[in-house]
Amino acid sequence: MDTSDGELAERAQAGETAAFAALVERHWARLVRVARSIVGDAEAEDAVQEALISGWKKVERLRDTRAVGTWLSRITIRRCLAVTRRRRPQVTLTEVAEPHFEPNPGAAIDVQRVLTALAPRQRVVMHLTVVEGLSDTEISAVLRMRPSTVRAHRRRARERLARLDTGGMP
Amino acid sequence: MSRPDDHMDRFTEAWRRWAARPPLLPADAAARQVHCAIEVRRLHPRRPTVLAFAVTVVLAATLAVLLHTHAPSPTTVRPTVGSGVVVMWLDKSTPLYMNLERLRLEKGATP
Repeated sequence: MDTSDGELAERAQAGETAAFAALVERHWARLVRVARSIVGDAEAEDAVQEALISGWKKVERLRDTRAVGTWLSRITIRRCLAVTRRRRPQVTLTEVAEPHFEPNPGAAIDVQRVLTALAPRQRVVMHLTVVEGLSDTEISAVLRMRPSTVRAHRRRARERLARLDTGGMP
Repeated sequence: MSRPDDHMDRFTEAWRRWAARPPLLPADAAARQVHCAIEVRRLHPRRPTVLAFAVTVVLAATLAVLLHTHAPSPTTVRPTVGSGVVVMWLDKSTPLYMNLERLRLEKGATP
């Protein structure tokens, strides 16, 4: 029988690095998914690795070991948001203004490009909603924000995407 | 003409597919890399941090000793003053130097 996340987290807290590595292996694909939506393909995997390596030092402070998956998501998202803050001055207005849905329904959508039109926190909330299928309560637990704030981020993201959709640029 | 909801559905579907691509680094390889990095850090803690801490402690201790041994005290150290200078202690550690000779010279007296 597979060892539970909580058990692995407890062993990691006791200093067992292999247990932490097992958690990494189990959650890697999911964490890379969320990182991609925030920082894009090029930096996602590096950002997740950095988050996990620095997370090891903080694992002993984790109170609810059963929620280690949520905690891993949180530290990854924080790291990715820090990456976006570092790079923000390099983003030009044209880069933000250009993304759009292809008018041709058969054409492939450049998802990464469209996502640059959203604020980083909007990307996070939309990712957890659309890709991971989490509820508002679950998202607020991951991001430690009120459900009303989650809904506000999502509403603004949808409005932004709808404007892109109809061709209306800001 | 397509409705906005169609566009949104199409986009969210494309987003799910895009996000679900397998990572370039397989999970087991990522776990090994993270494991190695953690072990290295555990066995060899970052020297700059340890060194900086040690240097800070030594400097702080040296400064504390210097301040303690060289602190002026009216009871143990008598300030060296030239002729025409009067020292008054405002409190245990605050001397006030009054240069009467200079005042005298400024008023036109010859040395």
